[in-house]
Amino acid sequence: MTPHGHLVVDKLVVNYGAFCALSGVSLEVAPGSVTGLIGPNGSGKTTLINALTGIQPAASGELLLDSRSMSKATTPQRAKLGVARTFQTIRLFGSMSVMDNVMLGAHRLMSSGLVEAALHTPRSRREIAAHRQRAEELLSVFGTRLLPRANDPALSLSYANRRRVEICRAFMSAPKLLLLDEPMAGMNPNETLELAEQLPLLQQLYPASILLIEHKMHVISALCSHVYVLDHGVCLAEGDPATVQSDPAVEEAFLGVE
Amino acid sequence: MPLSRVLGAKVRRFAWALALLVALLVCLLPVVGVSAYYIFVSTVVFLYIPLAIGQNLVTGNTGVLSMGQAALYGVGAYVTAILSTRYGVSAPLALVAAVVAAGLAGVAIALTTVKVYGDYLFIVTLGVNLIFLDIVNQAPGAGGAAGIAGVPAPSLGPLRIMTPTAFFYFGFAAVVVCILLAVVILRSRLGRAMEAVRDDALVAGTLGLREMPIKVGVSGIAGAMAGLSGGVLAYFLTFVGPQDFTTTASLLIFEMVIIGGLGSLWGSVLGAVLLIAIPEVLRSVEAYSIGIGGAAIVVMMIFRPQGIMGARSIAR
Repeated sequence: MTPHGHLVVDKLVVNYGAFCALSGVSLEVAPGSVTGLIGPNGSGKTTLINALTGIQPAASGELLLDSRSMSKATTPQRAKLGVARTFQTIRLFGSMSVMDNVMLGAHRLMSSGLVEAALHTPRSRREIAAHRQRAEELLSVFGTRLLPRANDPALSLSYANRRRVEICRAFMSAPKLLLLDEPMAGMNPNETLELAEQLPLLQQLYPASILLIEHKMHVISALCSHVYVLDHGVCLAEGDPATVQSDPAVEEAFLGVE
Repeated sequence: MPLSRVLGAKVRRFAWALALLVALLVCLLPVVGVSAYYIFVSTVVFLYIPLAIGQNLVTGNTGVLSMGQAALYGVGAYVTAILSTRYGVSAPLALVAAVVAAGLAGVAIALTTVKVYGDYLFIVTLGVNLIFLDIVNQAPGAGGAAGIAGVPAPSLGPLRIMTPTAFFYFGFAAVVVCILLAVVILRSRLGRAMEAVRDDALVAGTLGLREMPIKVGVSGIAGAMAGLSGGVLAYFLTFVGPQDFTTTASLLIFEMVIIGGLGSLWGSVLGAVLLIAIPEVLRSVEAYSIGIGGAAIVVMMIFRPQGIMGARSIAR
């Protein structure tokens, strides 16, 4: 089997004007892995995801997805290559139903274009029906939380359910690389635990490599094989979760211990 | 929340039957002996409905704050008038040319303004409207302020359209075509893609949706609809001049969409009906029609900012 979703970030530099948000970050997400990314607030975690999706231009550095450079690709081009993400502050399409939101995630997989879709050709209709089935399958991973509400406006859902919809939308593109920006933020301990169990199920359906930003260390320990620690735009430490947690430099960065 | 949702799913289910019934009743108007004056007013309403639908696709569904729809209306009218008076081009061909020319003009405007957003775009497209007015006032072939007169009565196959009733049906046919086109677009994945770009262009980009071709395409479709209306107008008046395509006309079209409801196809139709028919029927207040429209917008913005049928407000 050919490797899918192998991300290599090499000496990535991102500047906001005179402020250097990422100064030469290098990391790797192994195919099919869940790789953790932790660090204090303002350490550059979201900036890294924004740079990976092409939202934030990088000053220098190389981004390789399955050995292909995507440094020069636009955001939609990277989506087409198989990069998907969620947002720290949930960003669903507010005017649409849960199903419409999730279905838009399938855009990169559609072989019929938007003009063909507007003409309602048989091929386009078949394709949409097939993807709708996949969307229902994805929603059903969350039991009865989303499926009965598929046609409800996305914004009528609870906070945690909106997060779940956003995750479904991201998986809907069958991504090679999935960037999850604090998917458990704002969830209570039970919901957090539930999602930690569901993420591997989703990954079984769609075998994406996942880069997971999360503050809750027990989630990182449970899900990730490898963790990177970011602080002030540099990679402070890396390794398996247990090793990283006992690293004195990491403790200092998080707790400010001298 | 859209009005249809307030009224419940039942109304939605019967929407098609209702639309068909309304269409049938409209078709019967000339037959049941409605006065010539109301037939005339209805025809003017029909001219504006495609303009409002196009404006709503652009502004309501795609979130592009562009005005100047009247300039595209003018492109269609002038193309039809010039082709039919000077080159003897037949009506079907002249109408196709009007649709294509105004559609291309819509594409060109969108392409040149693709990096301009929000209020700035509103101002820039206002400028485009003024440029168009200057061109038709100054260009040697456009007849200046006097315009182009003597547009011959159109023949569509064996049908020769001459009477007010014939023009009523001619205009209504254009309305039906534009409504069907809008329904087909809005019910498709293209409709969702437009709304995704409107709701959150950045997120749409991360899903692989490219903002530029979607906005340019929708602007082209709106232009084509305006071109069709312009063509019908040229034949209806037998004359085209700059006065029908001013920024005031563009603003009136914009008002129709705001009052009818942003993002609501039937809102566009309702907005056109209200803003054309009411001032016409209430002749005594016609001189104040623009002011009344403005007052209606002020009241709407306070009590129902999403418009009568709309799902979203112009500002959040």
